[in-house]
Amino acid sequence: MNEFIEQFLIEARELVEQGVGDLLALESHPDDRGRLDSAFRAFHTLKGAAGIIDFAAMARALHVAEDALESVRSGARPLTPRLVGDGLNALDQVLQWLDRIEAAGEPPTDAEPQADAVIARFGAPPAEEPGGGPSADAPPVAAVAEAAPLEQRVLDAQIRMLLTAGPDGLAGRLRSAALVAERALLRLGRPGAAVGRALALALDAGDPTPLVDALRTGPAEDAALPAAAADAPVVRALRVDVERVDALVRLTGEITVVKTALGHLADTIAAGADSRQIGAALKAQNAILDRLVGDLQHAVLGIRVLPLRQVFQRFPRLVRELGVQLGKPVRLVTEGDDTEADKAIVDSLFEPLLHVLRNAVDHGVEDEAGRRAAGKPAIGLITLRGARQGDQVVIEIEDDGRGIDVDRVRRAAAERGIASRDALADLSDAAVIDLVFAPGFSTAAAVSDVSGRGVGMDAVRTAVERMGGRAVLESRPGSGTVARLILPFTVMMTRVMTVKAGAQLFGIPFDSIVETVRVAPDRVVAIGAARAVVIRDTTLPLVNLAETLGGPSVGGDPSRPDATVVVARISGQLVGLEVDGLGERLDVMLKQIGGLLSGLHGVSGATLLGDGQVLLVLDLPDLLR
Amino acid sequence: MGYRVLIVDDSKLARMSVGKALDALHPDWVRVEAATAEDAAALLDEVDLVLLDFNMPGKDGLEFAAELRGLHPDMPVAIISANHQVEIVNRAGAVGAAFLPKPLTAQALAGFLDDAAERLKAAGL
Repeated sequence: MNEFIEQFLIEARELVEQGVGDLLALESHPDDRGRLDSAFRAFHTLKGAAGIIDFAAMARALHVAEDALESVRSGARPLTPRLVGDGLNALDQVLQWLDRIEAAGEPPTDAEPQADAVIARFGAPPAEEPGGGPSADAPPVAAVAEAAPLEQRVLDAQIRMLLTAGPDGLAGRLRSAALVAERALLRLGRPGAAVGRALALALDAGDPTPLVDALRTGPAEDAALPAAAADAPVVRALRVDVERVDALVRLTGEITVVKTALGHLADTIAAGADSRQIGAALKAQNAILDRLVGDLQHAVLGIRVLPLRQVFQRFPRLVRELGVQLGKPVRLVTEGDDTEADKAIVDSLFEPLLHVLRNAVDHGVEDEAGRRAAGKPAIGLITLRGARQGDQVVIEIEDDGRGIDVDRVRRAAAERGIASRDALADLSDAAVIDLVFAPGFSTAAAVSDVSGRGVGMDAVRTAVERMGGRAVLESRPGSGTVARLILPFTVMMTRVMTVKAGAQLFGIPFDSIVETVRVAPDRVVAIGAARAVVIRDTTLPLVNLAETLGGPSVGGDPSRPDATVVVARISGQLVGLEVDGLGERLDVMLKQIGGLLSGLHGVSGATLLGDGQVLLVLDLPDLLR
Repeated sequence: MGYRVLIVDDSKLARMSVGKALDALHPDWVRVEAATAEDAAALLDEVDLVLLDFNMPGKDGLEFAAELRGLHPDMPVAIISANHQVEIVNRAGAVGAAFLPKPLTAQALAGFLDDAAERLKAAGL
């Protein structure tokens, strides 16, 4: 990729962000001259940048957008929500082009039709009243569709065609739409049988509605789709800071030096040198190598890091359109866009975040009347927030809506047979809220076009867990809901400490360990059936790790009756874990356990030790739940 | 010897683009870059001619050209803009600046630079 394209990508992403921010601000404050000028400048500079890299289609599309904004600046036309929507649409198209340029290293050569589509929206007569519902030629799934894979867009195109065409040649159109839709569904890994049935109904009735309905329910049936989509191999180039590459080059050099030194040591051993000296020299080289490998891991991870902006930046527009469709004015604020996360995570976040945001708009935020009654501002506020917390990246989606109706979740869970009424009655409110993540769960009283039938909180949890993270919901009745996705910063390295429990070694995540202590027997007290240990005037519950794991504890060295205790912080609480021995500190590449052992209780993953042994790494919160 | 050219544009991409065209025409000239009119003002004493973007946040190119004219009445200045509006072209003329359309062509730039070099030579620089 040449330096002009590289610089273009950097600037264009910033300009799109500037333009989106300005347009959204203008929607609520159409008279803000500063924002208008800034939006104009963003489009203008983007157009210029496209010209510099000879991307004529983009320059042409943006020129029309710029003209429209210029006519607002000169007072020739008012700034309507429709114009804001058209401008955001143009910027979204630009983002998609940027992704393609980033992957291919050059502007796409087939972008003219897309540019035409952007321009057509600016030129089209204002069929839609500002703030009005979606018109017939804009299918209600449009906002989602643009974020969806090609197959989904194909489906939407069929729906659009069926809805807009006249009665002539209906049968032929129905057959052709059904055929195309079946193929699209097949590519999405879904059976197309329902389409066949719907086609027969539609042909009988001479009315496309049954087929349209069948195509529309497609996405709703399919909660597992995002996970499948996340699996699909996505080829994307990665732009890497030169300094980070330089660091790798430097490290390679240093490692070569160690290699040479080791070769030299081998020679001296062959020549019969003193073994003690050799030992000391080996130890020194090993220490250097240890540091270098650590630096290398760090440097390699650094290459894989991207700012969350990459995934956040498309949502302000999508949320706005969701709000328009549902007749709920909402505004999305993003915070912590600069927070960095592993590229694999950033690349997989779009679908789960879209689901959560869609639920926030559809189920979280009240409609206008509801908000007025609750004394809240007319425009719903959704905050998408990213932050780094230690080894984790936490993404929060917070709305200022009504919160989760726990009783309704209880009732719905009982009706759907997710748990028995008695079991549900015993569950805490938090545990009931967690049922929202259960497969197939929804409390939407009316099935809406946007969220469908409870699309996806289970898909969200699945996707997040695939990335090695967790998804939790927190509800404040009357004042809002927070969905929290807690993800590992890297998907690669976890620092663990090995401990012996029974005859086997296990890994404990290092960041949950507070300290390790030896405890004399008299400091262990029995409390009922359980035990506790007093460490520096604090009483902690004491758990024998081997017994918890279901095996006998062999005890430590019999000559030393002291217990070896690992003090761990588990969900904010300190717990003493009695182990049969302490091992070493390791940085491991944690692998999810698949196959027969998947879903193993209390284990977060496995790794291979140097001697080929498998080390199971414990998930303490799960183990001690 | 080469002249020193100040390129003022808030887009680094645009500065790279102008710089490339300049290098192709006059490899021996020195280029100095600034991202804002404010930064550019501090560099005026070190340069012989200025290429100014019209559209910049803060002070725009024409405002800056007018100020510059007060301080350096004879310094060759070109305003580069993708807005081909007559108004902007006229205002550029009014402050004694050339107007160059964006995207900048080597031909347009060469015309301005040749003219600027002649004027500078005539002024004994």
